[in-house]
Amino acid sequence: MSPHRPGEIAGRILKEYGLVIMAVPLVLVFALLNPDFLTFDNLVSILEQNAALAIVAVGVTFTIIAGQFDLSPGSVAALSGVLLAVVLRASHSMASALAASLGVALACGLFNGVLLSYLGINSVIVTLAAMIWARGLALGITGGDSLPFTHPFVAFMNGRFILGLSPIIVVVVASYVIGWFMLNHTRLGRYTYALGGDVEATRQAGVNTDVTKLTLFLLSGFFVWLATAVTTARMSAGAPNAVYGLEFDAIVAVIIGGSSMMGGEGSIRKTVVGVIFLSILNNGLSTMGMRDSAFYLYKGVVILVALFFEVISRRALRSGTAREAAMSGGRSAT
Amino acid sequence: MHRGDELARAAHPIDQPHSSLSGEERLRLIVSEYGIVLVVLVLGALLGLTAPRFLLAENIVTIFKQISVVAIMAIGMFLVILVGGIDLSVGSSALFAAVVTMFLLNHGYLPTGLAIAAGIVGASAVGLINGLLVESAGISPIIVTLGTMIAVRGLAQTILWIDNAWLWVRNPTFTFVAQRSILTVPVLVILTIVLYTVFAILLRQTGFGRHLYAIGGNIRATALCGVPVARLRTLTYVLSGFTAGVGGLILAARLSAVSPGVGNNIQFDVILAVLLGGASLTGGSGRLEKSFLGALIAGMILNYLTIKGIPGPYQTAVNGLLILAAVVIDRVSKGRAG
Repeated sequence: MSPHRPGEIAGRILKEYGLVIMAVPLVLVFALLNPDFLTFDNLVSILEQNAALAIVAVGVTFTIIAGQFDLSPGSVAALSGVLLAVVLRASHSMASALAASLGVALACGLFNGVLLSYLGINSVIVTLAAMIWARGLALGITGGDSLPFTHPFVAFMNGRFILGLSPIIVVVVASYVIGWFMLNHTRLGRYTYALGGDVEATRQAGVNTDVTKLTLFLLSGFFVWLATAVTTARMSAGAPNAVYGLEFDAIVAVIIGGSSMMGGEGSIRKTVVGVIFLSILNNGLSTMGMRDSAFYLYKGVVILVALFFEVISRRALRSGTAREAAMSGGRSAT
Repeated sequence: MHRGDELARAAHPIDQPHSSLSGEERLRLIVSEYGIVLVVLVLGALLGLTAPRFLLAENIVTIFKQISVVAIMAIGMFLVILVGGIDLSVGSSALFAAVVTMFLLNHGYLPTGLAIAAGIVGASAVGLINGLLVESAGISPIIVTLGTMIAVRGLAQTILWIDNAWLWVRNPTFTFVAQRSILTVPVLVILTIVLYTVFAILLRQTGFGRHLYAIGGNIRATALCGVPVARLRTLTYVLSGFTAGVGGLILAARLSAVSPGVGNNIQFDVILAVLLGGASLTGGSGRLEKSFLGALIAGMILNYLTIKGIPGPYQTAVNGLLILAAVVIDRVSKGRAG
């Protein structure tokens, strides 16, 4: 009965602050190795470097809470970035280039959404296929080269003139505000949680689950487009190899932030924590001058450790509630 | 229909007595069982008609050699998918096995046989870690195998950097497997057939195989029957690591060198083969032999695209669309049940 058993308290603390606890030694190590690590400029540039990850993670939060998987964002971002560069180089109009890339991102979301909602195909497979074919198309269109362009838009996006912050940061913050508002204050947000909790019950409650799923993947496409705009502006090119593995980073950020893989629970706040953790990790490891190989080794291990924390805390909490239930059950029997 | 009947039929549909089936049902059963053979034949004829070089004996042998690695790795992947899991780490396990074996061989630390064993055991160990994290810690297989995919590739590349990211494969055993033939049949093909035969017998003739189908069909019921569900599912990941290791060594032999990119993204080809072979991602259905045919279909199409001079990236795009085609056809043929 007592809510203050040590195991349960530890579980709760781990669940809420596990990632923060893990982040402290990480930041300390990076700060010791790189004296400039904790400067304002570096922190801003960490966020800018990981802007695409941060933005895409908002859309991924929705799909994961709804119990779906989206493995396509990285490839779709590359494809829509390539299209952006192609249209811009042909028309010299940034507006039509942005419109074209938005069209591609939404079309991919629509295609995936129709297949997984109306045809009822597993979202892992649909988006896994999209991850492969979209990357293949992007590489095919450009022949493997990236398409550089020059446009005032690039200077604008990278210039720091809003309280020393660039429009890129503004886009990131706006994405989170939009995401938070939609998840917590709209019908779509409620349906998202409902879908992840129990699809059948949601359907019986009168919600059109197919339309909801489709909308979620369109929404994901929208955030992918925002990420595309940021990425192409940062590189001033449309690159078919861009943001390789972005989808995995985004899913990992959402999961280690504490949203459940099973769907039905999670929040934008948790995603923020996960994204910050992963961004620090990405930046810290890469500024240590590591080879890619060592980078992946450390990153993979840290991700698995973070997941393990998550599982241990969930288990500590569950055993606590189970014991409580058993105790109260025993009491009512006597 | 009773759940039990359904399970039994899922395991060995064609072995059931047909007396209880109407003609139409029997036809449907036969089509769903042997349709893929028909697909292979029709596809072969079509591709052969539009590209005459395609059906040359020499090219057919090439196709079989090209698909051997994916086909072998598909054995383990089939087992994992059969019990409702998925393994994204096989490409990295393949690199890991190749690096460990060639490192030990080229530095003269171990004789050939032991070095090969060490590589395969290493890859199986990766599978064991996957299995334990999925089954004991209860983390989603996609996330677990994604984590090991990243970490194991990093680990393998770190070892590879000791030799400046390049290990030559000049061992006679490897050359023999990659290049020789016995009675005009390439050793690679023989190896593939042997592995498929062993695992097909395991699946069809032993309790192990029946339990895997039962777990995929209804995990709760199977657990209640006293089958050690978690241990068997863990074992499928170990076996997936095992076949990935074998595949990695063959890949090294075929390329005659190990470089950091070996096996990168091959997991998608492997999953494609299993899905084209008609296995369902929800588990419990499909036949191992068909995964080989799935690998063959994908291999035929890629070979054809190469003959026709289609650039690699578009071949990748076709691969992605094939995955979709496989699941859409599967879904449409079964009706929208789930």
